Amino acid sequence: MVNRKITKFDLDILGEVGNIGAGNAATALSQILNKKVLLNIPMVKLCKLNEIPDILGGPEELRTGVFFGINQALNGYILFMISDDGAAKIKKAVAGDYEIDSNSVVSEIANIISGAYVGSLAMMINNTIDITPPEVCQDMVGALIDSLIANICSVADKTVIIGTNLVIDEEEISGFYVLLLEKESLDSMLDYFNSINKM
Amino acid sequence: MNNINVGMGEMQVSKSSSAILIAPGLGSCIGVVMYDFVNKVGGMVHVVLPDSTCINKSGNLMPGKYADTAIPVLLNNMVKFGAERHNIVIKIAGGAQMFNIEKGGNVLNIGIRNTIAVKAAISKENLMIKSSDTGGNKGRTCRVDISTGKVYVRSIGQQEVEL
Repeated sequence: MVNRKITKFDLDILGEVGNIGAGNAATALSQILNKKVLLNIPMVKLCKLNEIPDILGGPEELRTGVFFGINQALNGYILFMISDDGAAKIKKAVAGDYEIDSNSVVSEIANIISGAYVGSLAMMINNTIDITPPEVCQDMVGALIDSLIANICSVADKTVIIGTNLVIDEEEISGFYVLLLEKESLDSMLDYFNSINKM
Repeated sequence: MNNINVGMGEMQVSKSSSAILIAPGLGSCIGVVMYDFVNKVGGMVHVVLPDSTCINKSGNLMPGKYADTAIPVLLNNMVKFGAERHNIVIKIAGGAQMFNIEKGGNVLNIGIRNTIAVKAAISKENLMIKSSDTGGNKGRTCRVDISTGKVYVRSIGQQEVEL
């Protein structure tokens, strides 16, 4: 396979894809919580694998991570990483003062966001995308993401990160919502959008 | 003290007595430390994947990224910095399995595959691993003090221990 170079136009496309996905996800979450939800301007970056842990908060920072595998038309991972502080804010926004397990709240919120995000992605590429159930884990950022990055970057040393920030009721939840696609999936998605653009 | 981060796929060798090499947040990755106690030369590599043979090597290969290339290249760099093979002591940490995403069979047991590949690459060089802390499902930060050769491993919620 030819090694496709990511152009500035490609990054713009991915930014727009992220925007639409995030918009749908925010609407879904907002309807369930009955609160104002914003998933603000996505970060779209082509980065080297050794830079990724720093971009996502720092390799040794403690985070709660929720992961989904995606397959079928696109292969890759969705990951949602938030600090303890962010998890507490989400728990408060969802459950108020009720005592519930914060991991399950975070995982459910991530599930709602991912479902809507992937749904809109599938609609845009006019194909089917499957998503696995969430996996939750608390550990250092580096440890949470390195096995996923190993799979994404098994050949290439660079990958595109599409990231989003979550804001509930004007309270910013410090965390990242990131889409990581395998090289072939990324290339085929970009080719598809580029071909539409030429029509 | 001069802390030097060794990120994913990176490699560092030093003989500066003030240097500390750190591989932060190892999950499935493996931090390999080599140290020559006579010449006080230390090196570290942050291995990400087991095997480079499926890769087209014409490109710009990061040797530290793959176990089978990382070990010989690190050894070579150690020797360039004045280390002698028979003095080199090796310690490894990492190779955890953080998640169980059911996807394509054994894709995510990469920690175990990394551990096996690193051990194989080291024995291929006729060297031994003095001590190791691998497997499980916890992240680790591994660091080596170049002045003493002592290697420390730390996990979230646990005391740092000497390896």
